Amino acid sequence: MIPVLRADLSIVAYGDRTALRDIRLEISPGEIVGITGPVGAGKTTLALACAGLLGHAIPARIEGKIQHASLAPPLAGYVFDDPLAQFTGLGGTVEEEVAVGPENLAVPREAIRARVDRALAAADATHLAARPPDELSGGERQRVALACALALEAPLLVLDEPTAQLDPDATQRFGERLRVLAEHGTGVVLVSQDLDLLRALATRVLVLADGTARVSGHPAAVLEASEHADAVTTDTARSTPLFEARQLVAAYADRVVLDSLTLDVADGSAMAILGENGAGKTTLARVIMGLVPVREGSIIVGGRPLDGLPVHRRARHVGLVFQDPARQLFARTVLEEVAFGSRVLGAPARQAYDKAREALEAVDLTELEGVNPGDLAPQTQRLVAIAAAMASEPPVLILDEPTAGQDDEGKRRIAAAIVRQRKRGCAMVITHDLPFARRVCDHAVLLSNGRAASRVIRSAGHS
Amino acid sequence: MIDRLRRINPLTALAAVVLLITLTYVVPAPWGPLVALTVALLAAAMTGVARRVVIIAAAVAVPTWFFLVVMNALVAPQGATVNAGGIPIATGAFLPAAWISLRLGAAIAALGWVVMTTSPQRLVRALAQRGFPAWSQYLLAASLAAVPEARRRAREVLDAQRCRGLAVGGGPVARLRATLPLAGPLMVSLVADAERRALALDARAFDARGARTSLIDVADPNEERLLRALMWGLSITLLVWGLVQ
Repeated sequence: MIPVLRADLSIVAYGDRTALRDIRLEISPGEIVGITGPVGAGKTTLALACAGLLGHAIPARIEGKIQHASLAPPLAGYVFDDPLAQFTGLGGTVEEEVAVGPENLAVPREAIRARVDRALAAADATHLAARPPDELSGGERQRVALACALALEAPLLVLDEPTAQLDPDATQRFGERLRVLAEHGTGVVLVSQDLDLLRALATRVLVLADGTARVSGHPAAVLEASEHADAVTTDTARSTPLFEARQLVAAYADRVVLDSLTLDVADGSAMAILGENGAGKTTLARVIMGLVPVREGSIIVGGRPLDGLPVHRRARHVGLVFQDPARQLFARTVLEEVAFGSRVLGAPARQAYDKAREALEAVDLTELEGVNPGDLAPQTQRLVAIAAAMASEPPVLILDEPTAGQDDEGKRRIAAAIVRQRKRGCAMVITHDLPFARRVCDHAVLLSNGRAASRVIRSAGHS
Repeated sequence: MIDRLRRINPLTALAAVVLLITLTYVVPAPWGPLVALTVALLAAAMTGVARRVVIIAAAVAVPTWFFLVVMNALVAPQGATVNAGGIPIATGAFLPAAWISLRLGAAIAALGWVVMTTSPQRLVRALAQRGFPAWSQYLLAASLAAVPEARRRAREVLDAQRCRGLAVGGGPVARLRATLPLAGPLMVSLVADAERRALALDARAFDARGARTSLIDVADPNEERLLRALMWGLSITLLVWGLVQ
């Protein structure tokens, strides 16, 4: 059987920095090869190399050979770890965006339509076809990103953290559909930190560390038994509600996103906000911060209503870490970045830097305080953003998908940050990562159709 | 008619803009720019963007007129002057400044109308249907999308920094202080976006050979093709006439 990919890479380097060394990889049709490893191990570089994207849009020095079964485009369908990166801007609607690949391949119009429909169905995104890509939630974007890659109908599919922002049901459906694709002969490279996903899907797993292949083989042999980390418990939870949302109604134009949502979070506790993609989780965070106007209802922190307060004044009461931290990083050093919030809120320089150092210590980033945040990996940038939010010491801290793409070490650092926050107030964690939610949160709400549909209370460590 | 103008083929809108700008700069003021401005505002009104077009045209033209008047009538007055409280003012500078501003305002109004009403995505598909090379399709679409994209990014950066406590209003010092936290991430985001787009295109077979096809059929009726040919012909004639003059 002719392999869909044969890679023999001695060195892949960005300038003077070697990203990969001595990697050999062969993928047969129908095979799903999982790639995992810590942040900075070279997973994305290997994925880009497999898809034939290194050396074109991304300048890199490649010593070695990469051979694809296909000699002409498309060599591979590629799903980026950041779903926004998938969008070319050439589609005004989701279906137009998905059509860009087949259009580039000069596929006749009727055949494009068929491909787009198939890809959207396979990515569980048919219902999004007429929506503008800019207005999708993170998880919806991820589904569309997958559809964009599938529409190329390439013999090789390279997926970089394709489920990081998908809800558990969507992840399961994604797995089922990936298996079907493989059964039809598509070779798949699946980069993921989700070891359960790799165990369930991969026929072979390659574990990278420091740019080299450390272990390779059957998932059962290569991946250690699933780590069920102990719950990070604290005795901080008190019965007094610190955060209260009362009958919140919010909408984007005519689309009601939050519908009479009522929610409270006790002082000293952490609450997981769960829900399907597009359920309104991120909108809730934006409403709390005042970025999306409230049509009805009230938000109260520490007994004080925030209604009418401008966004920058709410920052004293609520800290929000966005899904994409790159929107906020600007300072020359990590320390300055983390101290920025306290400084604009009026803390004297020395006090602001002391708080910043404390926050950096909480996420184990002290050694990076002199580094330019722009030079860090996105996962580390997110840790910097978390430290920056904590340094202002808001009583309520909201983290939006903090564990997306994080390795175990990153998740441990975020868990430590949440423990610290619970000692000072409360935390709300918007996530699809249920094991992480179980580990760090003592309450969870499930958003559905803009309402808190159910509330789960767990005893320490067990849902 | 209004409905038709809203569904106009993007290539026709482009031809109209080229003609209006040519008219503005080739036919002497005030008639050339006045006609162009009137047509641009009429088209903007019929497509529901008149207010925004007037605002951006005025935002460029009025300060330009003011600057030119200050420079040519007050700072370095030339020709006949009148004395106003001991300050010599060159009265002859007012009208030329008005014509230059009018030209600029008319050109901005025409461009503003096309940017606000033409979907870059429709333009790409219209170009693909006419067999233009892929790079030219993307170049034009990216140019049209640049302003709205930058605005969207700026909004995101602004939101992120306000959530950290940054107040963006207030006096000049406060505004100056807010510049770096806003401009820094915005610049980085825009550069990153451009790189990301290039990579996204690469990942979507943009380098494939052969003419691109299109999922959507952008209507291009015969009368519009004829109108376009007339407008291109008129633009070229005006340009040649301008050069000869």
